[in-house]
Amino acid sequence: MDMRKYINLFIEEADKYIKAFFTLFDQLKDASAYDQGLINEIFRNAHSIKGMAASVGFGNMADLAHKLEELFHYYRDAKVLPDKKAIEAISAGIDVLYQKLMVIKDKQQDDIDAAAVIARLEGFYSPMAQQHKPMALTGQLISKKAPLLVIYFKRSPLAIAKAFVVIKRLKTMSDAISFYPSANELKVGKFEGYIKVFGENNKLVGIIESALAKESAVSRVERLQERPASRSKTKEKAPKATPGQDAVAEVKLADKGKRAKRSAVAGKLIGITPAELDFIINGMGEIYLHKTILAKRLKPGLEPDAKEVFSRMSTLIKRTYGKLISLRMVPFQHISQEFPYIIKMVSERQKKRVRLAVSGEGIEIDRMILEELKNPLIHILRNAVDHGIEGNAVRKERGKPEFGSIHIKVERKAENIQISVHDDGRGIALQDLKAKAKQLGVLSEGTLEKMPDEDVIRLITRPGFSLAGKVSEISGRGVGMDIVKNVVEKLGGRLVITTEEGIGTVFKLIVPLTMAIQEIIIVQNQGEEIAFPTRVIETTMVLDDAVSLVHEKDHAFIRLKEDLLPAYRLNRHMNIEPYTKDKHNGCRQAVLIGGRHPSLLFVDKLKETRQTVIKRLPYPFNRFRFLSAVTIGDRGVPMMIIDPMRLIDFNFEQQRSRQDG
Amino acid sequence: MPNSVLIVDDAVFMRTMLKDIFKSMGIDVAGEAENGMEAIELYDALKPQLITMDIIMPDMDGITAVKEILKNDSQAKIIMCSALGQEAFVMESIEAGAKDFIVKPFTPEEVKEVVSRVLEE
Repeated sequence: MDMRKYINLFIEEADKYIKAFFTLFDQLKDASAYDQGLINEIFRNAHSIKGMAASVGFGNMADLAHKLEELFHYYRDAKVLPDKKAIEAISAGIDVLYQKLMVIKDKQQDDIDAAAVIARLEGFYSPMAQQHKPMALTGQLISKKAPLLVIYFKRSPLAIAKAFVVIKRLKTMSDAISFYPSANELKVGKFEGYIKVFGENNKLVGIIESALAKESAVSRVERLQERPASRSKTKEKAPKATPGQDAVAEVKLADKGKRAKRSAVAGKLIGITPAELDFIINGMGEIYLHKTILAKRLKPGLEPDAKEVFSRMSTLIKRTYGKLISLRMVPFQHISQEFPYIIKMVSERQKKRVRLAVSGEGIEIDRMILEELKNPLIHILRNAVDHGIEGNAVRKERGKPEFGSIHIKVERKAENIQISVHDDGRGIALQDLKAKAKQLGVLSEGTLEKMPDEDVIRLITRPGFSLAGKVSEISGRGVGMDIVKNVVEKLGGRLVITTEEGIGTVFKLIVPLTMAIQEIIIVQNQGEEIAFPTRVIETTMVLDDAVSLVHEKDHAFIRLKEDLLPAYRLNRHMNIEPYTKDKHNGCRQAVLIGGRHPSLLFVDKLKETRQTVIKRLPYPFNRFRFLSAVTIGDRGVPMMIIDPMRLIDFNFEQQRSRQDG
Repeated sequence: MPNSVLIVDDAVFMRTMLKDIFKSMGIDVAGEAENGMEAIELYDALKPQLITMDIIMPDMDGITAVKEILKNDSQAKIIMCSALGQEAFVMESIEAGAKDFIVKPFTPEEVKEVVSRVLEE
């Protein structure tokens, strides 16, 4: 859905709500006694802000409003007033909410980090405790009646409520069916993603199937094979599940009781918000890191017994952490479900005919990464329809298929995910890009002449570099290609664009599979330990007789097969300078960096590679373009993870502008 | 006669979004209500084929409104608008007689899917 249309309305109304929040909260601060009406009003206020923010895609803002809502829900239920500390935290929460709105107003996107204030708010109540009040365990209805069907639901927090609706609907169709879990069991949270339908009448199967055909919350309906006759004996003995008899524990055999009870617990879904999960993952990540440090510093001196305990603990931590991370993995579908709609809307408005195909939708990616990629992908898709795919007449003239094609391919490549968007449109004319660059005065004609094609195409990722002659309603404003590139790079990924005039364009977004664990190479440089992500490093090198440098004027190169690659030295200020014989002779260890400008980067000492838990930096630290994340070094101090590929690329760009200037 | 709907939500923003979606479906928006009370009154006055009902609203919440409306007209077709984390409320409303629900943030297709099914019933 095109949200731009709604953003101004959202800003206007959210502004009113947040201001009302301030006023109401001021009243609450002055209140001498518990005031149900006031608390309720504040609760609803937070709730409305949450709903609106979520609807326009500001999930982070919605999360914060959600925390405030939950907190006031808690005060409402507990009939207490917030204490002094809570008041401070809530004030901070509303402040951040307002800041977020201001930033959204300014640049239509929300990049204020609210993790700290959210964690603070969570401290005043236990979200789990109040969302899921303790409830009596209900045993599984042991029915020996044959299940006819299993209805599987798509994974979603509200799948349980959908299942409830489905049961209710099916019940209106026939009295002769029962369900596991039953409606009452669903109400106490017992749900594992499916419902089994029990009944005697096989004719019902078809009716149920067709009734659910249009229900998008249902992922599939599985027919179960009819029961062989030999089992009919058990069937007679078994208690009949009468319709409407819900959730009665009919556990007759003692040994089965335990099992049934266990499965009842397993069937109980517990709710957890993404922020809560992130909190647990971060905590476990820190434990993981500290374990690594302990292993380095303590383990060698431990007694054999203690060593064994330590090893077991290490395995456990690693496994638990892996499991936690996997909870955050969601299939690409998570974001791609609305793509067809976006394509349809944009293409209809443009009177173009476009078909979208998505492959690899089931591939799982860290939710944090996926959500960041959503807007950039939407932008690319819109662009593809808007500027890529030609109008119907032009396509016909050029002998292209009637329908333009956009293909999103998701592939897993080792520790990376590659999402490529292919269109069979007109492609991007490199000459036009060059002309535009000249017109904007960013680069001189001479430089542009010499520029290789893959660099020319990258010009469109420069801020303010739009080829669209007119700003269309759809793209050409808002998120630009520069933002797409920034988002991808901030995630530690790369954006690769290839185009062929008349044939089409491919945008490749290559991002790490998960945000949490990365392989790094630790180097010692200028008295400091820093790390590079190994995914940008092709190999490490030590200068010896076999590998030597070619010195040319005051810059050294290394000959690698056909290529002469420049050598650099990383200096104290995290800048790079050309490697020269006189200045850097003692420095002999280097990493070979791949990418657009393959180069050799010298450091004092290469230490080791390891898998580590990384942390992304919050605003404003995420603005440093080379600093991709931090981790904790052996001595327990933070260690910066520098992306040398971006350092090198940046250096190239600067050189080019210097040559120009 | 085209189908008509009464939209109940305390946020103008939400109502506007739903209105646009209904317009695109060719469904006539008979009226808008900001809370449960208004919803009951307007439903009586306008008798639309369909109601979309927010759950958490000032003055009277959506679940109470559902119960009241169904007391007067057991055939009323009500679709709840829920936010994440309100499974329990949703189930309560369905039990009270609402037909189905949509989840904020919703996409037009989601709304269309649920609305057309409920209207077919």
